[in-house]
Amino acid sequence: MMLGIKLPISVLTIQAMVTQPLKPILNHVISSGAYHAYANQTLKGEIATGAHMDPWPNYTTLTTAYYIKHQAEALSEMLPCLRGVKFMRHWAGLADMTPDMAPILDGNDPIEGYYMDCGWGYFGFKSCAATGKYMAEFMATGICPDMLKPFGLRRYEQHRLMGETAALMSYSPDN
Amino acid sequence: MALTLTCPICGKRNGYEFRFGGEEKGPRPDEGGLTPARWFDYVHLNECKAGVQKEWWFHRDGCGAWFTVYRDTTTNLEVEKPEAP
Repeated sequence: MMLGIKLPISVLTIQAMVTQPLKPILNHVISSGAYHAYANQTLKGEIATGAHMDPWPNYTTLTTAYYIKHQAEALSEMLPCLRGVKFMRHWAGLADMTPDMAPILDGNDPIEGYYMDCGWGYFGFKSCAATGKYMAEFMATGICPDMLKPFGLRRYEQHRLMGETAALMSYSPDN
Repeated sequence: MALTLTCPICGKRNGYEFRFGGEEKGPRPDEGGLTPARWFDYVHLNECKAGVQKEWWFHRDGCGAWFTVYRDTTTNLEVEKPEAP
């Protein structure tokens, strides 16, 4: 807002939760498109699960009872051995969602010297090292590396949306 | 407390009955002389305001009305129309 640049982003809260600690039962992350759930057991023994997004933009990071009920149902269908296990902690963060579920990595356009690295939604953590390396190269040389070219902000205007086939498409208000 | 919204026909209902319809961006641009940049601006670009914004909602699990509300995005509560500055 300060620079007068608008972004094709909606900021949605994404919720996650962990159960009470349990003896080791899972040694993989398991996820199901049908149950719309994933679960992973942490080193402390808690089953970590979550990833619901309320489809209305807000900055509250509030969690909802609706989702505790929904996730308890989904998880007990997917892993019946977890029926009766209690959720211990439930939190939410903010996910900046773009229309094509791909980040925006751009620079020097429209303002020279201004770079943006945003729109990661809920999956930026895994790519931060590689992104950092390429963005640093961009800033140092002033030339956009080939790796970053598909992620420019102008791709929407030019109808070159990225096809992120692995990402679920039902979360953003645009979908 | 999760979101509640006041539908003009059904009254105050649970937010999960509704579909968010985007920020209020004015009427659809005229198709004559419409550029991709202007269309992109209208469809995708959001103000992402941290405060009270006017937005559209659709009562999907109810009467099917489309209506606008003012909602404060920092508290996620529906508010009255703010006084014009």
